[in-house]
Amino acid sequence: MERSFATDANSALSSARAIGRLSLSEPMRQLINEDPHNVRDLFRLLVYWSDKFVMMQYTRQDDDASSSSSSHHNNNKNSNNDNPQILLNIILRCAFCLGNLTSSNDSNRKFVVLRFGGDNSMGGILSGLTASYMRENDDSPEKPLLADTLVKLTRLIANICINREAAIGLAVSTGIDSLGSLLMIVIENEKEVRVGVSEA
Amino acid sequence: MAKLLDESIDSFNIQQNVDDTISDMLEVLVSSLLNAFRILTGISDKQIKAAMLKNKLPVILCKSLQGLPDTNNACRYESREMATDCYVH
Repeated sequence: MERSFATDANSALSSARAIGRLSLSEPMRQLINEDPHNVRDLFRLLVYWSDKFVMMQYTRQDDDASSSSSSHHNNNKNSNNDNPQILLNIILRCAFCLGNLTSSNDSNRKFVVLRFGGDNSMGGILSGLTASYMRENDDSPEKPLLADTLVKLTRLIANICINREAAIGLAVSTGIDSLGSLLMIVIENEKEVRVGVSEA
Repeated sequence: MAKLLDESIDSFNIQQNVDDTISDMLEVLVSSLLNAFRILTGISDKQIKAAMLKNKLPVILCKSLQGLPDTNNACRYESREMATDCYVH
């Protein structure tokens, strides 16, 4: 049974929002860095909610195929663990937080990949979210949030890769090649914008 | 406020039971903390940050993340001593 305050989406979002805001300041980051468990717990939060989100997206697709009339999430507070926007907000803020913590601390870069399992899970998170982004319709409310989350995740990967050992660990991570797919999406979008401008 | 938050999280971590009251309180406390940066309270941003640092607020908040599962046994480090050995500030 999961026993953590952070398995409740509302609580996890509150904590991630606050830590994200505080992690913008170097003295606050130094406080967090005093205990590596803090970085580990933040990374586990990212992995936990990314898994939930990706699994939920797959389940939702199946539900959509079988029934198009049902509503997937309501406004009940207890159902926020199934609200994709809340989940994406948690993932976004975790990635932002870890991005800040790896921007100025080389040990954190190594910790995330070589000690806390980033080499196992980072590629999976990236490919899961990239696949979700590609599946979403352009008018979906989750699409802009997914794009922001992918930006923060890419920033985290870029910060981690400043460290050579961590970069090597990430380079062999399954799913990290999704960065190529992301780049193709950006290039395609850029082409569409250019065509739109030249036609106007 | 930091003390109240700390005690609430400790209380949860001991009971290991997601209590809506504690969850709501955390939400309100965190919103208040974030608003402290936005609303003109007569206290400067520097003073707010100093108070947060003094009360080790980021560490208190990180305590609320404890206990999450180690998905796929990804984490190969559990001992704080092991970490401290290679942790450079």
